[in-house]
Amino acid sequence: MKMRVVILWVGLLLAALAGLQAQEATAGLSSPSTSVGQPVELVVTVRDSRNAEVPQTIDVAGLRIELFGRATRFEMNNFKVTSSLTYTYSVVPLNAGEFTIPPIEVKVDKKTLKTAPARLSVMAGAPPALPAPQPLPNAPSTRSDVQPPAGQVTPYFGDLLLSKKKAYVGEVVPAELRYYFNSRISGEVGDRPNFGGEGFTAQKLSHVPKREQIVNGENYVVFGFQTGITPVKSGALEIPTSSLEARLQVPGSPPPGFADIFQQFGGALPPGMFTSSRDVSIDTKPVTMEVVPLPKEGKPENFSGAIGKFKMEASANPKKAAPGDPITIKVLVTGQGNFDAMGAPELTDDEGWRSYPPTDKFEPADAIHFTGTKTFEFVLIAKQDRIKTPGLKFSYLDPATGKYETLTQAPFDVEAKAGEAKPEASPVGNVTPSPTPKPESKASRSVVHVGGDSSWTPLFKQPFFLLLNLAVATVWGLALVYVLVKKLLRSAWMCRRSEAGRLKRLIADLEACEDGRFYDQAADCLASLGGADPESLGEGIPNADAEVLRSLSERIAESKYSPIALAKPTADERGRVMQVLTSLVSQYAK
Amino acid sequence: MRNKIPSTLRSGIVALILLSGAFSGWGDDLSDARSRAANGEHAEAIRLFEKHLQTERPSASVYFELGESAMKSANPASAALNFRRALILDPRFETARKALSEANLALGIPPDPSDWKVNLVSKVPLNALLITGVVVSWIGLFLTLAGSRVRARLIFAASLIFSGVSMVALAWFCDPRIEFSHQSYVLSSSGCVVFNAPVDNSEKLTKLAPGSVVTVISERGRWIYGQLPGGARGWFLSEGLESLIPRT
Repeated sequence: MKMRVVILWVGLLLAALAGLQAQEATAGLSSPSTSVGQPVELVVTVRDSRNAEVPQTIDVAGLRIELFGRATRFEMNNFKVTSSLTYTYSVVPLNAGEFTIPPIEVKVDKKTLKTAPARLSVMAGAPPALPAPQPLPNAPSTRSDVQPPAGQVTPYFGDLLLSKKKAYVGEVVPAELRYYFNSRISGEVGDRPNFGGEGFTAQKLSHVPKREQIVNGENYVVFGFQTGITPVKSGALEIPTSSLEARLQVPGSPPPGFADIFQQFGGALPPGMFTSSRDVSIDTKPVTMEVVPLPKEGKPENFSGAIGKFKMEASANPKKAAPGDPITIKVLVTGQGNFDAMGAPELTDDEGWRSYPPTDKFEPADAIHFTGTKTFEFVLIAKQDRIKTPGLKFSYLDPATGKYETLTQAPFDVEAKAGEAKPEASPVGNVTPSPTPKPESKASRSVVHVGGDSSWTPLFKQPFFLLLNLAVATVWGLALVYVLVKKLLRSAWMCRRSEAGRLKRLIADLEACEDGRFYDQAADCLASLGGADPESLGEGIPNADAEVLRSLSERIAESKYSPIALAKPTADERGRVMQVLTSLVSQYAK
Repeated sequence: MRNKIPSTLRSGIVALILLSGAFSGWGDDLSDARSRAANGEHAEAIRLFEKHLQTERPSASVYFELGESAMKSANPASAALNFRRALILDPRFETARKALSEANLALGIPPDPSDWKVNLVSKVPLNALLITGVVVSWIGLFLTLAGSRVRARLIFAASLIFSGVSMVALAWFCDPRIEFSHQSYVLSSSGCVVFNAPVDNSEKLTKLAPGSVVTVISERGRWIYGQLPGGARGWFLSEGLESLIPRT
């Protein structure tokens, strides 16, 4: 009983959530392009509504649009229930051209919703090729009839689309592998399918951006891979199945008894409520192509294997060439076709010119190398004075008409002088006109050149050079140290320091002197301390010390001129003089 | 002691004899190669030139002569490689430069672009430039020690240092042995296929003609990632390539 109540509440909650969803109407075409007489589907989807009114027909000049189906769908994803109505119209093109289907008015309850306008491209004749985001060339399309059965929802299927079912040997046929997954299922898709087979070569598969497409009224997510198929032999060519691996979340069955509970409330189990993971391999169906050999009729002699539709442009540079200087003719072949297999254009009227095999470079404009520009460069040297370059001729097979076409380029006006560049500038003598020069036709020269290095190591990396520079650097470093030391020794601080040391030695000598020479040595000390004016020493020192210095100066003066010069100083005098001089020397040293 | 002096002398004499014998052998190879080349026996001349280059120090002249013999043996790809090597050793070797342009024409590839570096090295001897730059720099440095108190002398010394260092930098920057140390040459007569990825079955981007020069960016086993002359990049198999500067 409790369980039923819980389920009832859950049901009510889900219904309330569904009611919160905004109503909207959208319209989508099953294909954005078609041809006259080939119908496409227009599907109008109205979300979150049980009933709606739509027009039975839609008036668009050149199109016949009639309603022919209606369906109701319930979905449940992550416990979110959505319902939608789908109305399917048949759109039959009556004329070729570009059409815009106007917004369709949908009446829901008391509201009127409008869809967005849809564009349809209608071509005369067969349906166009590969309506993909990255369109392939405009060639008639032939698709294998891999379609989900009408009236039954197919979760996934594969499809191989060829731009044509009849091709020439060596022709590049653009193809696309498509893998459709119903938008209601989720999962992971492999990187790329396996694709290959006998009797043809294929370009590397190129990813097409993921897109959505309506098929039989169902919305599918489409994974596409483009390639170019080149048949290598004539006859029926079967392009085998290609498989893409995927892990999908497919609808599963509920636990036993769960469905019964829903049925007791008179309701069905919402789709998408239970899913299971499954590894699947999605296959395309094999497709058969008819491959025919190249026509022999009208095949030009210079045909080099180009099949497609091309145009040619050329230029020559420089316009004036000195003797021996080359002139380059640059040829651009642009269009659609088998660029990888095509040969170079042919030079015409090349008498008097020496030419060499051209270089080539291809710049693709699409991922499968079907469209692009191939550049050829011819290098020419005049053997005789020339005012015109050779002309150019390029032949190809147009697969649309089955006939060979030849593009021509008239010679360019130039001014080219014959001969070699300079006598000394011709180390290999006269080169013959053939692409591979004949050696014996050249003048033999014996050149024993003197000069140049005899090592692959540059001089600045050679050990001798590095060691020599290291030695010079050492000398420079020593010289720098010498200069710095010399500078330091000559500095005022060092001079004062050395003088202080000398004074200390004098004081020591003075202390040891006990006879009449005491005053002479004291005079030396004073002279060193005060220069020529010992009196100046009295400034800034205590009066007692200044008195001692004055007395000492007088005594020194007396000792020079009187007989007391040789008199020994008293111990007291010695003591006071020593004390004052020691104090002055200490101050000087600081 | 008395016995040691004669034995040292004996060893020296033996070494001198061996060296002179070896030297005369090398000389014989080269002169033999030259005489064979003069007689038109280019295949044998090429073998002897290559033998000489394997044992002797590289020489621009020998590479040029080897290139000439290769050209006369209808092998313009090998000729162009040897002319290039001669030019790397002596960028002022104008005859080799002309021969290279002829070989390139024979290979059908566009001539090498001429830039200011090529013009400079074809006129100025790089070693002389380098030595001058070094000497000038050292003079400037020693002058700074001698007269730092005189301002004019200091400025003169600084300008000497600047000039010297500039010359050294120019010699370094323009030396083809530095520039070509990461370049490889397509020697294979069948050219060299450029792949999108270092896998055999990967997408083929283009094919380089024999004689093309590619700049090696990195190597992975037998695969080389490099830059094409036009600036595009791709993977090559090392089998078709030869380093411009021979690997020792």
